[in-house]
Amino acid sequence: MEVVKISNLQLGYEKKTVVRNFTTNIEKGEIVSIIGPNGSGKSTILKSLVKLLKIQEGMVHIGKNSITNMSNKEVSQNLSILLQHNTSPSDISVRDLIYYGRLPHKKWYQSKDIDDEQIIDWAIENANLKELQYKKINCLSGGERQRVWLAVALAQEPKVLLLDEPTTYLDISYQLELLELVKKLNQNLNMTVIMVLHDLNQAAKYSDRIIVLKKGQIVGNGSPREIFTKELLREVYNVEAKIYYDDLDHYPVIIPKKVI
Amino acid sequence: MKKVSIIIISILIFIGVLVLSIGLGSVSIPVREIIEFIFNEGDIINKSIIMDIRLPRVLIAVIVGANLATSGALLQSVMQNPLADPGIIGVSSGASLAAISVMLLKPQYTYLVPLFAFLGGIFATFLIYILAWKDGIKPVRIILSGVAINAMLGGATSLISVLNSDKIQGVIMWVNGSVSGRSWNDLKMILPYSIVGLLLSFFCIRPANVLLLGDEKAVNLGLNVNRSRILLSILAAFLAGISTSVVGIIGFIGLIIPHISRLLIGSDYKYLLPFSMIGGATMLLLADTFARTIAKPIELPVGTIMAVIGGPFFLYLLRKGGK
Repeated sequence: MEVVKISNLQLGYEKKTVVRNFTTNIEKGEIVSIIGPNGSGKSTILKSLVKLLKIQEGMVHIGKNSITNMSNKEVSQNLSILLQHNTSPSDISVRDLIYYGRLPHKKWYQSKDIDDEQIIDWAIENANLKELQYKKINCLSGGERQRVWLAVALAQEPKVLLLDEPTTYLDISYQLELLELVKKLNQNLNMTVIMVLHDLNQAAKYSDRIIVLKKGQIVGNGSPREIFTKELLREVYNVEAKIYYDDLDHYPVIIPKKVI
Repeated sequence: MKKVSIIIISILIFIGVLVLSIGLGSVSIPVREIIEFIFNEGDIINKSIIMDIRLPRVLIAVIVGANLATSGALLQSVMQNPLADPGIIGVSSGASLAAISVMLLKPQYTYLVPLFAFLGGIFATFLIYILAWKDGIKPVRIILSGVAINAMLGGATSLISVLNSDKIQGVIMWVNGSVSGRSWNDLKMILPYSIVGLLLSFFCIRPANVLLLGDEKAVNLGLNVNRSRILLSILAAFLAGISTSVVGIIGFIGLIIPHISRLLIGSDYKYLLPFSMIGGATMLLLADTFARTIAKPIELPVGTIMAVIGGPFFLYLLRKGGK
């Protein structure tokens, strides 16, 4: 069953077109990674899905509804995004911050109720934040903070979770921790995930499907084993690489050798 | 809860300062006597000093202090920057130019100064936002176009002042902000608008909080970022505009009070807004009491006092990092 249907998407800033003819369907329970060199338009696509950017041409449907006809609020009830860089007041508590994830489901006059508390508990549980929930955000490490923002996104009860290079500013252990968490959400809750990743090996390890972008156009769309070939890395990234396969889980492991 | 008790304590301090402020001045009246007046006793002359002179002035200081602090608190969320204040969106420079033009060029209409000052301030804000608009409204653009418009209006104000320097005397007090000589009529003029404005600000709590999470996440939490920025700005300009129209330019309250409040009670607007209102009222009362007792019987403009206290504090904030 498809949750998000993207057809012939064209995106850009002012007169410059960044993404052309982007078409794909996102199935329920899938983890899809969009990869590509700098400036290929990966993040631009995620931004357009949550209405941070106007769609120039084409359509995005969530279920039967086109997002062009949906308000910010309606889109936010369905798609939540975890950004690479987040800001908040430094003295807010983890639990209070996660509450903001409930706002898309609230009218302006409604305040926090029992249901919200339960969903906040659930988000805290799933983002491994139980011990930290009453701490202030400025007492947390970068990795812990990113988990808090993941919980904010979960509290939105989204149909699809979008991750925009969520590991960029994190140490390697926190990078793994976050992606493992996302994987677990996908397995336990059947959460659909679309993410933009920089690290090819992380994309290879954690994705069911990979979409490769070059200069705003799709040049590959398939499973990690199909996508990560020497030819593709040469063509898209201008890199000579060796590819091995993990003994246990059989996902590809890319070792870049040199720039062509 | 801790935050509620901080607010209660601040209210008690406010009441103390209020009583003190009613008592102190060119003629000092002991607290005991002020309490007697409440029960309709005491000296007739002192009573008239309090009822006709002190009380309207003190109440205006309370209202204006609360308005300016609230205005600043709202703008700090709009700009996502704790160093924003009502001056940045042109309220002061627009009001100054309009008021000075009337006072110097058409002195027969001086009684209309409050109206013109208000319109001038709102017009300057409007201009700044129009110029800052480009596919929506971003804090940096507001600040930059604010700087430019403020400079232009300031220049025009100086020009008019220089060309009419023979008549400048009466204008100085207005430009430097003063609550002295304000009457019950002045109070009646701003009270209803202020109450409406301050009450409306409580509807801004949620958008003000969400804006602090950054534009992108705010959009993904369902907030209409541009609309919220504009509504908050309109309310802030309105509160600062009506205040300026009656007392002239009083800087720094809108900057300092929300900032101190944030340090004391945290950045959640649910507490920050009411606390800023009480803090602004208390601060302006203190400054005005100071302004009329320090060099008595001469009264200094309270705006000047605020600038003298506020300047060093502003520098201190900058030194501390300003973020």
